[in-house]
Amino acid sequence: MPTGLERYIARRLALAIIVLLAVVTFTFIIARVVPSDPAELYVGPKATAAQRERARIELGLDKPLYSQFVSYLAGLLSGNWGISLRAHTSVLGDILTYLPATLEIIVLANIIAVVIGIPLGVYSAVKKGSWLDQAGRLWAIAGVSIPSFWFALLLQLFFFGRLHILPLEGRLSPGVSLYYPIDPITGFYTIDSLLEGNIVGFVDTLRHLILPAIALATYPVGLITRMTRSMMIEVLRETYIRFAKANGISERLIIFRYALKNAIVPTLTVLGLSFAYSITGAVLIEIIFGWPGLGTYTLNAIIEADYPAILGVTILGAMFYIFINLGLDILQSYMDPRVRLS
Amino acid sequence: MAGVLIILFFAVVAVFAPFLAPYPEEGAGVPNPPNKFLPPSSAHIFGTDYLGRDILSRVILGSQVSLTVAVVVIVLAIIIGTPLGAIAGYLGGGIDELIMRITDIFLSFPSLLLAIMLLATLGPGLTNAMISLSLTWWPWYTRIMRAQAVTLRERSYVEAAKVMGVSSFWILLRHILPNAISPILVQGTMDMSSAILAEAALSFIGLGAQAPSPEWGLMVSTGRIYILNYWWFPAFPGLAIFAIAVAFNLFGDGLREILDPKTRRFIQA
Amino acid sequence: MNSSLATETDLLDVISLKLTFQTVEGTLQALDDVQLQIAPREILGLVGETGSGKSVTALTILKIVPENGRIVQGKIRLHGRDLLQANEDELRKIRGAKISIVFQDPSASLNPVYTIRSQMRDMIMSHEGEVANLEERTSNLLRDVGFVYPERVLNSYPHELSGGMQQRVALAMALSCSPELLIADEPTTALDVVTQAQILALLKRIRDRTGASILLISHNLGVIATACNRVAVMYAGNIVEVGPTTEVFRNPAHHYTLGLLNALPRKSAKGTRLPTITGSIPSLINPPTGCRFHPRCPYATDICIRERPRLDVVRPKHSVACYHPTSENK
Repeated sequence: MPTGLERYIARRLALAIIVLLAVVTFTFIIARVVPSDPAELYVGPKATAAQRERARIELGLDKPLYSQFVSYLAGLLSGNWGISLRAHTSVLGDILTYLPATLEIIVLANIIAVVIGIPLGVYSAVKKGSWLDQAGRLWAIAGVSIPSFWFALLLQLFFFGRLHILPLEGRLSPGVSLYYPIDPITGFYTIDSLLEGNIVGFVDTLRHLILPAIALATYPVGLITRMTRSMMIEVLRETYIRFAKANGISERLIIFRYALKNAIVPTLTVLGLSFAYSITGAVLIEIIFGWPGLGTYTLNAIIEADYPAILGVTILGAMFYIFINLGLDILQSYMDPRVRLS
Repeated sequence: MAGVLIILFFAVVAVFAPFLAPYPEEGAGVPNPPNKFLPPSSAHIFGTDYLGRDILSRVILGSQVSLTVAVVVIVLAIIIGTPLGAIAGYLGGGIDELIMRITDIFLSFPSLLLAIMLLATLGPGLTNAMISLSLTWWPWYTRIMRAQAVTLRERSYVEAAKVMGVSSFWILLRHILPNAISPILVQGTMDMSSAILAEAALSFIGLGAQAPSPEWGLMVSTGRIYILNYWWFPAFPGLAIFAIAVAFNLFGDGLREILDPKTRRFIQA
Repeated sequence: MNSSLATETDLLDVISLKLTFQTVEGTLQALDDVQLQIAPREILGLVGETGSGKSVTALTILKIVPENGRIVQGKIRLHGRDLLQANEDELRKIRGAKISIVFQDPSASLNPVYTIRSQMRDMIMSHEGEVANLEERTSNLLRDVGFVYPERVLNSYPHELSGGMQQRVALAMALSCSPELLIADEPTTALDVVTQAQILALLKRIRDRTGASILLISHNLGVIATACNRVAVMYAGNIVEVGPTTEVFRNPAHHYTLGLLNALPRKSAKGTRLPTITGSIPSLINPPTGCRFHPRCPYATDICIRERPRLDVVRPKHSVACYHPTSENK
């Protein structure tokens, strides 16, 4: 007999797949309903009408819409995500090349956000009403209000322009990529450099990573601080906290074991939101830091109306988002046994 | 609270912008090349941009754009989303499922990506940006409204109205909507802040407001490459975005403290 | 002042406790002049309507006062030592170890995300640090409150247990460090009648076996009559009557007590109205002067309005705070 947890996971997984399918359909329809002619983009402006016609057939644009959709779907599942209209390269290949760069920033940014946000939120809630609490709240509000692109520029101005301690852009300094090149095994420069024992490369990677990650982290930090604080305040009012306190359980234990575990659960939902934000926020950050990641790829694809690429990225983004939320839901139900029933 | 005051300040500035700006024509976009890149001074408090235009004037005029964006996007989103949510929550069953699945699909897209895609279809521009953003935002209000409707439809006064034969439409209008309004208001005010940020981001990418509009995001974008040498160019418009976003968030936060009965405990007498 | 009611052998002695709350509408005079003595090995009932201050008294004994509350005056002596003077560290050692409490809603008293085993261990380890044979001890504690299969309970989460079981777990936790005084605040109100009887029987067994005293708070006279050997009646922040249960119930001296007893539904003639006490609980922001019950009392006179009556002995071991106790009028 599957346990409550397993049943819950199965249900959520099925739901996620259905939603993903709907997203793909929706995106596909939008991409095909658009005015410009994909074939024209494929062959370029100087092509003849005949070449264009050949392109149409090659791209399958002459077939009815539903048949195009079915073949597209089949392609997705088998790893063929189409050909970039502009570059004539595999969309999936391109995406996988650029993805790790973006992921590095996103992951680091969210780690920073959690490491700063949760303790701050807890502290703020426990010392509710004091000036520390006020500071915490203002901090949280500032976090969600800062335009990340503006903050990124300020960081550049300050740490590169004035202090000269951190690099301006890119993933690696030109000197390092020449003399201490990093072999892209996973694409994650942090991991790859460590795998090779390339300490210079590792340090350089971090130096390049830190500013974009901080800029991207502002919104998540605000979100997480705010959420943790309000959840902690609510939980600390609960009867079981009063019961524990009245019967002599230490303040420390109450805050960090009892209250926190209950408060963490909804905070995790916020993390999901934060990841979603990070995906779109990364686009802006990458532009400013000249970061060769998915964000820049997407932007270029949009500007050039490269529909297979746009489709690919959107679907990836949606997949990412859906499965992160699924993961968080499962984590939530693991931590709060009552959720499994609903 | 503080938030209201700041918002009022911006509102006043926006309304009277043409009169408050020291160099209104430059604010609107008329270039003044000899004055290129002047640092902040008493004549130009925020300095001048790459076309010699006074940045303070541009920022003041830009407030009109920002406030318009905030209001239009969110109000539109609420107008679309709330009735859908109310219908879904109140009627339940198949309609509920349908509406909620559509909402889920919309919410599965990272919102800016969806807005970008829509803009790619519609073409860049401020109006299109506002429409796109509304279209990505309405699902949140549907969800909130639906949750409220589901709770409220169990209330006795709703049942009483049903028994008396009041039509569903009236019930929704007079009983459910007014009571569900407060979470929507709170969310709406805070979303105005996010809407401004999102629109600024879109303009930053080039898909939103177009030159010579004094839109703040666009100004940061144009000024981006000058950050190291003429920092005032992108810095001040960005500061304005920050300030107004903070204002809306403070306001929404304060609103929530007042409206939420749970946090409204014994206020110190 | 009323030291005739306090004896050296008292376990807990509440003296002239006065507590206020700051609210939006003004200062709430929650506890006016509460006097309570609890002897060892006894079950003292504290009875009163909602809003009389019973639960507030219970929490104040443990010095758990909400942010807007203030203890204006009073002493709470545990074995002679004033708890209100103790610091937070000393209080923590007393809570759970010398004085424990269980609340009305057992499902809200237990942390939903931890197993019973986890919570009981936390309780014991908070007071005694690392303890050997923890498993055995928790199993025994659960057996003591009536569980036949303690391992199953230990592995469960609170929401997997019934209300009665949850309350028994809460009791087990409260008793885990062998307190001298157990405060039970409406322990049976959220439970069905059958479970209620079980819990009350359990409380008596606990007293008999461990020698602990129990302060049993309830608005239900039946509960008090079943389990308590002494009872204190509370009205609007004051103790108005105290004495042995059978004595007080048979010969109620205060008119409020009399009213409560008369209001118990009885087999009466068909068609006659059920007796009630006229009026309602006074506002505690502007409480009545003198005796707080005077607006509802048919025997109130001038002095009742002017000066609050103090607890005074009227019959052996039976005290009342009234200028015209019912024995006068019998």
